[in-house]
Amino acid sequence: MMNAATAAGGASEPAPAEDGNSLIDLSTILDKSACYARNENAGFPWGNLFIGDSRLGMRSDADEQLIIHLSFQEFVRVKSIKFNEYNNGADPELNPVKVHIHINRNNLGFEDIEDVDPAQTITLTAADLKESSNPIELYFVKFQRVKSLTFYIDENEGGDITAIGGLRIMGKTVATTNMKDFKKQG
Amino acid sequence: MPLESCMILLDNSEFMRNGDYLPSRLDAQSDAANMIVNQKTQSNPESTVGVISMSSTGPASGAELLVSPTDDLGKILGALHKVPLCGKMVVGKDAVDVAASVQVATLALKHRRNKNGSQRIVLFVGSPLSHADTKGLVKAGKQLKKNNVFIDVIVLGEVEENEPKLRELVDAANGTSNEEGERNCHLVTIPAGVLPSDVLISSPILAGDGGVTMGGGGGGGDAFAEYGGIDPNMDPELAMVLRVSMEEERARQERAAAAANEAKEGEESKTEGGGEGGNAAMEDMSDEDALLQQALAMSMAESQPSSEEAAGADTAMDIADVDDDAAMQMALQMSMQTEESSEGATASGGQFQDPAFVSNLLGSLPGVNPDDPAIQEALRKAKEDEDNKDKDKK
Repeated sequence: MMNAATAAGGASEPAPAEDGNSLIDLSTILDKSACYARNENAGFPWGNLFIGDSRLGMRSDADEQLIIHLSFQEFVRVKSIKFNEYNNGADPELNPVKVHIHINRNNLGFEDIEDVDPAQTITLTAADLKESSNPIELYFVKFQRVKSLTFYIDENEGGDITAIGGLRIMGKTVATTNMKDFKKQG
Repeated sequence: MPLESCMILLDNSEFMRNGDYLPSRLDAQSDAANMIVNQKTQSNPESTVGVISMSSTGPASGAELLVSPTDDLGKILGALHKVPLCGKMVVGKDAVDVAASVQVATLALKHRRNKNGSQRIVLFVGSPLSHADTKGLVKAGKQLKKNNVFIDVIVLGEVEENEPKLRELVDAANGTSNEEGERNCHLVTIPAGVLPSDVLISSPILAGDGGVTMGGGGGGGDAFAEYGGIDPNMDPELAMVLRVSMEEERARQERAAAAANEAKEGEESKTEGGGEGGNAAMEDMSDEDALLQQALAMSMAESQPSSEEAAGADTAMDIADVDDDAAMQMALQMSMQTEESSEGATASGGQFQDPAFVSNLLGSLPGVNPDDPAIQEALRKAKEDEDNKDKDKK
């Protein structure tokens, strides 16, 4: 049964991967209605992160801290993430530096986000934020069953606000029933 | 009005027995709250409203959540109805703790079900805040801004004491960095003896985008207030036009105070801009108009040199960054040239050689000054070219 399914998948797809899924950009399966950001500038909302133009980025509003909560439509495994600098690095002071990543935490706000331990904390350098540089690998074992990610940008390079040009989250979906694999019987 | 989750904070301390608003502060407040609830729930079917009373009978005697944000109008109105007067007076403390109540409201908003849409707090204050320090209120306001929560404050009585403090709160929540001048948080003071709902109906709190609602009526909120009372389904274009004009009017009103001196500058620039503008008769000209005038003057100044080039008969000129005016003039000029060269006749050419005719024609074009030395020069050159061509032909 299992073999038949993979065989069928391999026959239809030109580049088969094990389990039938390779690394994909997870922004395509965001559950947009459940995502939110705190301290975002209304003119530069979180949705801009996934447009792909670093001039259309996201900015914080009152101070440099920023919370971005991203919820997925299904459980995913997250392999790596990539932050891009705002406006091709025109203002390096606005770059984020310290980012805490929380998994499957809903309703985190600035009041309580310091009280919970993040799954991982990453420190971004100016080189990491370049468009051409490699994404940052996460502890893959910790990100095996992710329904939502919360990024808490704690510190930046010293500017009054933080600005991010783009965000890419690479990973795979956890194998769930894919209705496309069902073939008509008889 | 866009989707919104709103918490209404009611003051139900003993000060609300005061009869300076009819029939009493508490009843006037619940009337106003009633109207706000109606307006919020009707403006968007998914909007939710919750109610918090700022003093309670319990041992904590702090803010009490009566209804968490819901779209069930019956629940909200039921809660509004049975808000009891209570609260203990403790020496050295206010009857209500605004900063703490606002935090409770933020918490209630944080756990709202529909994460889309904005968050708003509508705060009624009718008891004196003699002990509340401004610092705490400013801190609460900043916290609101950071959490993307808007706040509207309605001051019922105790105006002299409360208004400056609450204004600090609202200003902090609006933020000083907001250079666009877009203010989402408002403070409304209700003068004694006036029905609060009468004041609110025309305030930015209820009118939202509209500023002043037209014929809003005393009772319920006007569902189409932002479209000037026009049902957008019936006449979308008219509704849109009304809405745009109301937005402009609101922007003008909000800046009117700050724009007093800017308007003076605008007056000067208007005289510079010449009489081309059209609406020169407006006495209460806002800075927006002034900006428009400036922009007009600038675009004219830009179009001037390009039209000179066009007059210079430089047909290979690249028109990518030339504005419409100039492009049109160039096209005109080019068509004249082709006309001249194809016919090769002196009759039509002669017409353009006539300096009086040319200056008349140029004068009739917008933004072109026929007396401009550059244009005169260009005309002279064009004439020379023409003469050379004629020589070549011969």
